[in-house]
Amino acid sequence: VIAKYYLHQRRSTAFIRDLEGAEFDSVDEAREEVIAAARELLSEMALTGVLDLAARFEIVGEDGSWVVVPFMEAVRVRMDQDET
Amino acid sequence: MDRVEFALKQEILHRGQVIGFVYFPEDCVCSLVAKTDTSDGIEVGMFGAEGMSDMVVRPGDRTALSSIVQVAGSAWRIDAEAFSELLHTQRSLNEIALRYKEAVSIQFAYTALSHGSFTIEERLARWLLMSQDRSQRETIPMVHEFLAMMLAVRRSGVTTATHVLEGLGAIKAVRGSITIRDREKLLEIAGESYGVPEAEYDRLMSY
Repeated sequence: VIAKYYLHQRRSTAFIRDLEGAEFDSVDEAREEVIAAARELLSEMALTGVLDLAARFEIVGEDGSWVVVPFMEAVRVRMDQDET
Repeated sequence: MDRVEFALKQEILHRGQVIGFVYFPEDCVCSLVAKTDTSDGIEVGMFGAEGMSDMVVRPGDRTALSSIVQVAGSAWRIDAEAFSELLHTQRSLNEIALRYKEAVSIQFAYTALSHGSFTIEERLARWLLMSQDRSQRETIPMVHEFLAMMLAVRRSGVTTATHVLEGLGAIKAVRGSITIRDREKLLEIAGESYGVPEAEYDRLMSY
């Protein structure tokens, strides 16, 4: 069932409201989109020199569903040279 | 020549298609989009009343780019073969077309530069300025999904950039449209991504 989902972003300094939303086949598909979007947004942030690792997506469906996806879920972070 | 009406998102020329007509926008604005079979593409330029669609130099020419309507409105069109004949017989038309093509190639160059070297906010500011120049409107009907395709970013990137420009007081975004509130501010944000192609256009097209 195609439904409309709004992909809001809760940053540490602001709430960025998605006014328009987009249609997805399922909430899982909306989740795939925000994972890809988080990677792109993190790349843009990295270029400015400030990474907001507390940022998260809040997927709100027209049906009232509400799913939180932290940006950090979109990336793996290596802190150790030996880590594989 | 006859007059045609175009709706938002209408593809007036499709990549690879033999050009049947050459279009001269009256109040519509079109985006020139480079794409492949598997990608949505990226905007490489735009034209409105100051310009024209891909022209035909020889009958049967195909377009390498898609032309998509970004601001609905009307345009005049001329049969492609008739246009190419005029191009060869009317020296003044040939010259103005050549000058326009030079101006467009400079616009393409700066679009490439801005896609490669400027942030999404800077590119959005440039895009809004160029759209305002061509549509002469303060409020541009626009959905983020389309803008995302134009700027080759995900929709959330447009939402974020819009939020930033709004926070700086440059624009006001509501669902379905963006209103320019402070053009000076947009110019400041767009920086050097905007201005050179516009000045070159003025220089090339003046007599």
